[in-house]
Amino acid sequence: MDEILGKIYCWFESLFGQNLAEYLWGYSCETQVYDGKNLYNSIGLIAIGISLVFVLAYYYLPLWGFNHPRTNRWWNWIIILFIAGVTNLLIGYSWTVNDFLNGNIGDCLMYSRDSDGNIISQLIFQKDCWLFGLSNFFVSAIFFIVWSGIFKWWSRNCKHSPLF
Amino acid sequence: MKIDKTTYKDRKERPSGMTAYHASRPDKVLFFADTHFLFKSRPTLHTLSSPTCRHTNQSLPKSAILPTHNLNNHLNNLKLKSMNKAIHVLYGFVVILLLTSCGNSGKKTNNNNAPKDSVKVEIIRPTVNVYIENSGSMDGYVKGVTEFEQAVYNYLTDIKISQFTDSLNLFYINSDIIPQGSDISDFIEKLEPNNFKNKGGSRGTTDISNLLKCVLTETCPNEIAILVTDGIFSPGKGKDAEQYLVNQQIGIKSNMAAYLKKYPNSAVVIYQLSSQFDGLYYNHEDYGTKINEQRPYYIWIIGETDLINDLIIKVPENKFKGSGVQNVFSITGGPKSVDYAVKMGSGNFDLDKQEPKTTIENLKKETKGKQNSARFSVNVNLSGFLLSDNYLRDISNYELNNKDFALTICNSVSNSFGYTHQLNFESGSVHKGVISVKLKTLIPQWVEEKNDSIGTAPVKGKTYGIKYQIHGVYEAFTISNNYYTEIKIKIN
Repeated sequence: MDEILGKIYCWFESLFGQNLAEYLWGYSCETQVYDGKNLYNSIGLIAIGISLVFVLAYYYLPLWGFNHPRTNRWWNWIIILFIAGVTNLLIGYSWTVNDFLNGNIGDCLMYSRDSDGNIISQLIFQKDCWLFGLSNFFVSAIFFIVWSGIFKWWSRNCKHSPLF
Repeated sequence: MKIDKTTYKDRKERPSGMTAYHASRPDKVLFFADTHFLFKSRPTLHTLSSPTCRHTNQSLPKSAILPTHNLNNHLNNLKLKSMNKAIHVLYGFVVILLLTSCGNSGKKTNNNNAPKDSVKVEIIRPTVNVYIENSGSMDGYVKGVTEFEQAVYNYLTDIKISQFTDSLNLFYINSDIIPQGSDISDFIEKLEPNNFKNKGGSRGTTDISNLLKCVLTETCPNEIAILVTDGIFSPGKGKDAEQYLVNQQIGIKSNMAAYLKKYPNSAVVIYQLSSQFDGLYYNHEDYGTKINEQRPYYIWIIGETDLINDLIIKVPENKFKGSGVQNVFSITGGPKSVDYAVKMGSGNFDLDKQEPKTTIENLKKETKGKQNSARFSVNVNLSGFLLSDNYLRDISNYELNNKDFALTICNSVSNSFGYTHQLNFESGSVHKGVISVKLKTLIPQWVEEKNDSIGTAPVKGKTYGIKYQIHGVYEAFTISNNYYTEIKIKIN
C-alpha cells in the first residue's frame, strides 16, 4: 500500500529520470537499500490534500466567486485545476531542488564515476527537479479529477461543471 | 574465611539477577551502631545510662546520668574516657560512611555515562615459522650471494618490519626440523652449502609429502608457515618415478585434507620464483649434474585465510627482490558468501524495493543510443580469496547458468563498501529467473607449463613434479566443491 503513490509517480519517471526516482523512493547509497523516507508518499499526500482543498473550495466555498452560478463553466474548473496543479508543481520542484542543492541526494545517484573515483557524468540535474514538479502537476490533476467526480454532486451551483 | 574470587566478568550478571556496573564502587561494609546521636533532642534514659554515652548530653538532669555505677572509681573513669574517645572515632567513621554511601545510590550505579574502566586491548600477532629445505638439491641456491638469498632475506625482513608478527622462527627442514633461532640476518649469512650439510638430517632425498606433513603438523591456529623449497621430487634409484609422483600427490592430498579438517578456514599460497643455481641438479634417480643457470624455486605460505590475506596486504608479491614472483597459485576453502549488490543505474530496470541488492524488476532493453540489449551490473567484493586480479578478471574462471547472457568483468568503481569487481551482464533478450555466476576454483595454466614430467635432466624454468604437488593441494581443497563463491541475481 505504501508504494501506490510511488507507482503513480513512476508513470512519469521518463520525465524526471530513474536516478531522481530512486532517491524519491528512499534509496540510500550508504546502505544500498531503500531505508530512506519514501518522498513519493509525502509529496503525494500533499498533492492529494491540495487538490481536495481546491475541489471543495470550487464546489462548496461561498466566497471569492467560488460555488457561484457564474463559475459553473468547464473552463472555470480548468482554471482551478491549473492553479492546484501549479501549486503542486512548485511544491514538487522546491522539495527536490532543495535536496539537490543541499547535497541530500546520494553520490551513487548523482554521479557516474570511473574506477579511480573520478566523475564521468552527472546523472541528476536541476531541470530534473522542474520535470518532477511537472509530474507532480499531472498527479495533482489526476486527483483533482477524481475529487471532482466524487464531490461535485452535492454542489449547489457547480454540480454540472466540468461535465454532466 | 571465604575468599571471593569472582572477577568483574563473572560479576556482570549475578545469580540474583542484579547487574553490577564495573565503574561502581566496591561493595559496602556496614557498621551497626547505636544511632541515638542522630536524635539529639530525644535522649533516652536507657541509652544514656550506658557509661559509653554519658558525655553526649550535658543538659540532662543529674539523676538521669548518674545511675547506679560507682563514679568515684578513678580507674573506671580513665577507662570510660578512653572508651568515649573510641566511640567518638567510631561515630565519626559511621557518619562518613553513610555520607559517602549516599553518593553511590542505585541510580548512579546504573548511570551509563559514568567513566568506564579503560581496557587495554593487546593485539596478538601471529607467529611466523619459516622452513627452508636444506636437502642436497638446494645447495646450488645458496652458493655465494644469490637472488634466492636476497629474495628470502628481503621477504622475511619485510614481514618483520611490517609488524605483521612479533615472533618469527627459522628452521631448516629435510627429514627433520632443525631450529635456527630467529635472527634473520645471521640465518641468511649462514645460508651456505657447508652449513646446510653441517646441520644434519637426511639430505639425500626429498619426500615432499612428508616435508609438508611435518610443516602442517607444526602449524597451529594464529600461525603461518612459510616453506622455501625447490619443489623437486627425488624418488631415488630404482623406483617407478611415475608411480612415486602419483603417490606423492595422494600423500599431499591426504595430509592437506587432514589439516583442512582440523582447520577448515585455511589457505595455501605458492609463489614461484627464480634464482641463479650453481650446483648439482639431482634427477629422479638421484644422479647429480653440475649446472649453473636460473632455476625456479617455491615459497609456500600455509595458514588461516585471514592471516595470509593480511600478510599479502602488508607484504605484496611485487615487493619480492631478485627476479620477483614469476607465478602464483593460491587456494582457499569454499564456497563462501561474498558481499554483492546490483549496481544502480547500470541498465534499464528497477531495483526490488525489499531486496534491492539481489533482485531486479522490469528489466528492459536499452532504448537509448545504438544499444539494443538488456543489461545490468553487479558490484562484488572478491578480496577474500587471495586471488590475483588477473584470475578474477578472467571470464573463463566463471560459470554462468544462463548462456544467453554475456559476462564481462572490470574493476569496481571506487566505493566505501569494499567492492573490488564489477560483473556486467548483457543479453539480446530479456530473461526472467535467477542468474547464477560461480567463481570456479581452477589450477592456473602455468602449473602445467612449468611442470617437468620426465625428471631425467634439468629443464630450464621447469620443476620436476610441481604439477603433482599443486594438484594434491587442489584436490584436498576441492574435495566437496570446486568453486569459491556463487552470486545469484533474481530477475522478476
